[in-house]
Amino acid sequence: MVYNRVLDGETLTIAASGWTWHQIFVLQDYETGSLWFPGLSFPGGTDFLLCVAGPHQGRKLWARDSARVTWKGWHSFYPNSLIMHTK
Amino acid sequence: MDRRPPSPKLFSAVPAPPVMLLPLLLIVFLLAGCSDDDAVVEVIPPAGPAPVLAAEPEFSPGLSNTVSWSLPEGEKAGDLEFLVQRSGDPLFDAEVVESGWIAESSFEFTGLEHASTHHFRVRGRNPQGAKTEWSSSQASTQDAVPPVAALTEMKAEQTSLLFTFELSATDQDSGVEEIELWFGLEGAEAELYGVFPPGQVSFQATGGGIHEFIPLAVDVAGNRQDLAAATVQETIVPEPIIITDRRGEDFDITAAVLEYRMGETFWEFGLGRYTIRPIIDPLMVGPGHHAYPDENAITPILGVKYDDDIRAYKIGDMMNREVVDDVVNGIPIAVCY
Repeated sequence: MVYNRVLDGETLTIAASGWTWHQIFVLQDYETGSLWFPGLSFPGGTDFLLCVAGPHQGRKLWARDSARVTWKGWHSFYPNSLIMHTK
Repeated sequence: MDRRPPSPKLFSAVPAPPVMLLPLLLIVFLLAGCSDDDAVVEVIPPAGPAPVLAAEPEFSPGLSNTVSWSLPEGEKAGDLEFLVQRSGDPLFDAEVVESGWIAESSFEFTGLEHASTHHFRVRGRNPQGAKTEWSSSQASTQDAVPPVAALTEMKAEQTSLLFTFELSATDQDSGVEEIELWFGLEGAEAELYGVFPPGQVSFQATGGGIHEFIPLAVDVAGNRQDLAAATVQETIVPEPIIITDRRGEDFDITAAVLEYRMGETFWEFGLGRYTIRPIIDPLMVGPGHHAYPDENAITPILGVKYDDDIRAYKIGDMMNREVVDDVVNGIPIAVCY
């Protein structure tokens, strides 16, 4: 899942918080330490991260378009696509 | 400098027989009289420039108003007395009330009516009776009615130590300036939490218990709402739910548990805030790079395309780090496993 990470004009650095809830990673933002959790986990939730504790409590970071596919499937449509390289 | 004419000296300076003295005396008398008349004009110093009234606010609180004044810079008040006038008439032709001559440089007019507008001016007078011109006038409208504040959207019970509600206020005359928010814990003496404009306020409680809130509005004129006229509202703040991670850091998850039903017992690991670092501004490679995957690889990826910026992230690369913070086509995004 891909999320917007700009809130009120401020760009947040999203990271794992070290906690999981029901085996799902609880995220945080380094700027305020607020805890974020995927909205999909909530009744009626859709594609967003919901701030469940901290200064941004109740705010949402909405999902953006993304595709979860194989590299082959992606590359056949977008042969010039860049790909993240990790060492 | 004493500029009185030395006329009496003429007697002793000119020795003369008594008979001859008579016409001389007449002349001297006339001269002296004449000189004295001239002296009256010369001796009285002019009163100088007019005093300057301190600027008056558009609205003054209550039913009285104290006006004050000073002399233009470089001028000394000396022994000037002042006369202040107020009038409902900007030209001071009617309804004029005067202070009488006073030595002070301020004067309080009392018994003014709510919503009435008054014009003020002042002049000075020196001990010899010479008066300055009137100052320029200043005007102010009395506002004696304080505003009324209200507190809305406050739940009877909170689900976290940080919660929000709305402050509003109404004022008939000068308008709402700000709202003081007072709060007290479980009947303790109320203390000031802060001063806010009307609108949403976030309150950070330091512990659980019944919190009493009292909003007191202040209007532009400076009238403050009386405590007796305030609305007191109560809300119950929960006891905080704190979990501690393996590095000893406390996390307040009260809201998560109570508001979002994320039961306390299901929070696990607590490895530490900085144990699993996100990948920030990752290195991206394109076709031709030695690390660029074969086009037939069936590796699972997350792909994004924002205009001409097209990027893929291998799911396997994200498993260890959980989040990639990237900027694609100028848009900051968080890619999450």
